Amino acid sequence: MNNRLKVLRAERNWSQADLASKLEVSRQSVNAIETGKYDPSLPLAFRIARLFDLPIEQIFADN
Amino acid sequence: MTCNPFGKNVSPAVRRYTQGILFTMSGYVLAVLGTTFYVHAHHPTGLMLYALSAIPAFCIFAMLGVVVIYLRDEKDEFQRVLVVRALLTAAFAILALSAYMDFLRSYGNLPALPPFTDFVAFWMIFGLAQLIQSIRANGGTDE
Repeated sequence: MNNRLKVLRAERNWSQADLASKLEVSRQSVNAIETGKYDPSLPLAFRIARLFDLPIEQIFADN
Repeated sequence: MTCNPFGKNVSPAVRRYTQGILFTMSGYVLAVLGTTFYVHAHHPTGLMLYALSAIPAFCIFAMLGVVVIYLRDEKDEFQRVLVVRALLTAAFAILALSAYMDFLRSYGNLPALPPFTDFVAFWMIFGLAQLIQSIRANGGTDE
């Protein structure tokens, strides 16, 4: 699954650690999602969407 | 699980896991030393021998329980996935290795491995798998 997490994070000038802290996950988790090594669960995807105030489909896209 | 389980930024679940593993592992070492000493000194038989053998086995069971509690309490789903992957890697590796060793023994009349080899090897492979995954998960830039 592709995602725009890195771009959205960069637009807000957040580091991976900043984003991890806001999502209450580890920096490793953010890194794994950004690099496509891990697809988040639906609850975590919703948390990400709420944080960026965007619909899920504007952040994550099916291959 | 993060690389440094004693660091400031670890989750309460990791802290409890680290304390639990240290406690149960220490208990296991003490139980093995204590029961081995007792068995060699007093040569117990029957029910007593069964009870003594159960003490270190209980520590192993408790150690696995600590892992189960960690998986229940860890809120970070990716960290849970890493631990489950490491557990599966260790379990598969031990099953494959022990099957291989059994066949080798059966066909080649080789002596059996020392007792508790599987247990020690399981935790070593589990730790190694966690370390490798942790290094891989830490890769990537933070721009």
